[in-house]
Amino acid sequence: MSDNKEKMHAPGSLVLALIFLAWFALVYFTQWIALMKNWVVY
Amino acid sequence: MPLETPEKWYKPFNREERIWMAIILVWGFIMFLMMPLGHLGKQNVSSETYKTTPDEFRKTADKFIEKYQVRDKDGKRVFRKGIAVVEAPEKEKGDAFLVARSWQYYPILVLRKNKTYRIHMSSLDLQHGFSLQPQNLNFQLLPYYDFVITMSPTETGTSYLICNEYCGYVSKVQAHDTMIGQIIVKE
Amino acid sequence: MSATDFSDQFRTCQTTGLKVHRPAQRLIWINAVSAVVFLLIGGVMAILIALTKWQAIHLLEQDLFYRFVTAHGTNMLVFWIVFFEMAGLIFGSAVVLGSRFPGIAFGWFNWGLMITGAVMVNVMMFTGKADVMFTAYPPLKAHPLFYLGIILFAVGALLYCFQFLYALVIAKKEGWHKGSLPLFTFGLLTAAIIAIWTLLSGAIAFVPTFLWSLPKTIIPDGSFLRINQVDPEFFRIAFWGFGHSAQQINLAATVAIWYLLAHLTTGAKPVNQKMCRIAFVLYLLGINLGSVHHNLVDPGLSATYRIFNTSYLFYAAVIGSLIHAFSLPAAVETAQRSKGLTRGLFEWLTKAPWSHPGFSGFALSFVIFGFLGGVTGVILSVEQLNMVSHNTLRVPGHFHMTVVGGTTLAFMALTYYVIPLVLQRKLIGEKLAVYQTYIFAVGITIVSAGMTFAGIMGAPRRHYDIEMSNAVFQFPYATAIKPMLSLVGIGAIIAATGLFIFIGIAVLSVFFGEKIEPKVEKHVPPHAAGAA
Repeated sequence: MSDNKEKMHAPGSLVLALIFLAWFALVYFTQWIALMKNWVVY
Repeated sequence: MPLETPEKWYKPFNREERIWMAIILVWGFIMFLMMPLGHLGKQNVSSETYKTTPDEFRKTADKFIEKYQVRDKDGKRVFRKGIAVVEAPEKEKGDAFLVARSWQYYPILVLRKNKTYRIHMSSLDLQHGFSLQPQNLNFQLLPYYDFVITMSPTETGTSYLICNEYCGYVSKVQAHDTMIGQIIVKE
Repeated sequence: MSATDFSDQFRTCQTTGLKVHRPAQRLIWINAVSAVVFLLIGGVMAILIALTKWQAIHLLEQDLFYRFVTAHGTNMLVFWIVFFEMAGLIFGSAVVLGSRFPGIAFGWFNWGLMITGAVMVNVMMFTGKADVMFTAYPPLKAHPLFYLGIILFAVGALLYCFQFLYALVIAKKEGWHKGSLPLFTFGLLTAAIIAIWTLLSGAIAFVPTFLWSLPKTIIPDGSFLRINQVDPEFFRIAFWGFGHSAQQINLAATVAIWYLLAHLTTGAKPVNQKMCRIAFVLYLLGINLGSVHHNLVDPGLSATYRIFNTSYLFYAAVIGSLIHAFSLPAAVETAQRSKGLTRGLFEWLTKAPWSHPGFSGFALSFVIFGFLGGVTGVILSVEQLNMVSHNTLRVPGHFHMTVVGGTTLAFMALTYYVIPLVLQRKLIGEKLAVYQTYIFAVGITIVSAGMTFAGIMGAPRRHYDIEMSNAVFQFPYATAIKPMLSLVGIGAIIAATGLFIFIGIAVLSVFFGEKIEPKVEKHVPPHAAGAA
């Protein structure tokens, strides 16, 4: 390890980025669930 | 500083950067995997395509309509708003045909719920956007390309085919925005 | 001429200390002014077509609607954005590096090609000879001068890209600049490299189509130039090699501008430039063939081709953006924390300079592009999900979030700096600038939301009348869709207000703003062989 406890430089940004990713995953998987209810097509 | 010449920009990643990089790489892989995994599901994009010409497709479709058009109790052919109504054969028994042209879809296909159909689709002139509503299934139809979509309706009712690829206009009643068709699903 | 012969052509910027090559400044001026002219035309088109989509108003007639959709798309996506980017390339090479811009006459020639092309295309569109949409998909056919205009514009832009690369070479060779490229210039370098690929793709799409559009009186049967048919799928793939890659350029340019604005407003420095530079390179790598997300429901393509060419195994270009998604706020946070704003997780953010248009424009553009535009874009690019999105109003919903809420807003925020610092005019109406960024952001978000929800309900794009009042059947789902279309109209009024405030400030300032006296100082290459 480089130092005994590595300081977090930008914790707020990491939280914002994680919130964004959670939003992304939520919207993304909602689309798949909606598609599954459609006609069978291939 | 984005305008400054950096002295040495090659620095090791710090803790937050490493955490974030790891998470986004995992997310990237998940998104990628969903695409092939999606092929295990029931909704996929067909790749089945044949070369054709507008003339050849029109003639084949007309033969299909001739064979499968619904007749009323007097044996007369059924039309709705001037468009032939056709009972499509299930995929084991034959293929169905749908023609897109400026500015109409024909014929009106009658399908049965939970049965499977192979529908050949093409355009006779410009690019058209097959858009089945309210199911909101959309495909691109091109002249010279016979696109075969296999589909199985999961509910009964009347669906509408609108065009969502701009295909010109010559008048208020002959235009991209008056191009419409129907698909009817019975029990 | 040796490099020292240019020494009289410079001024020193009193704010940044940068050495500005004054002939390059004039080239920046003409490209930036041209950009705003086309933004104005595109903006007027926007409000007219949005008030037509709002069914209760249904402003335009059918023919003008389709004509103005074509004019709006082409003027905004091609002419406004690319002219602005050319100004950016000249700035990012010559001004940022303190170098001369090589080939000033050539630069004017390239602008000449671009403006000729842009005027030609507009004349064709407005005289009704190119009602083909910005995408111009064969077998739809426009007048040959429409295609020729696009080709001329593209050639001018391509030559500018080569000139930019040459400027970087000259800066090093003649000793104007030494060392790694600053991050802003590096970002623009990736944009310029993508641009070369983009414009070549465009040539592959448009040159045969131009030849096809020429009548037999000009190219008779039997001539080797006679093209009687353009394969529609070939055009779609080549066109989107041009069309989507162009968006990747916009993205690289927008991100470069975000770093610049974040720095100018908060003193932000990227925490780790290695991460940012890798992210820019990912845009380069993850780009072409990756345009196939426009062809996901086209006939004739295999699933493997579609999957590979959309995602490159791990969505390379998206990873690039996700890096910036952390790196940019982290840069701002680090700078803000070093000023003492360390309370809790977010004091650095709440006490950021929100009343400063450079910051508000950057931050709003960043959020809209990321949270809204990026997410919807990835969703549209999934093969299966595309079946329920293709050609619906979801697609313009997505790209208005990215190109308008993201790129255009960032360009607007940057302009508030470019006018005083580069074009040397004090801003007129500066107090309105910050309100402008918020009004525009709110308006375009409402427009995009309306389009997205209408598209989810099945509304088609590029369609004059969702109620299909003149068709043989009416479309019963129009009732659910209409309220969403009204949102498009309302949002457009708000966004147009923001747009016209921006154009007002920009035009008044550039032509009537108080001149800032240049500090003309001799400047010789500081790193030339034999220099001190």
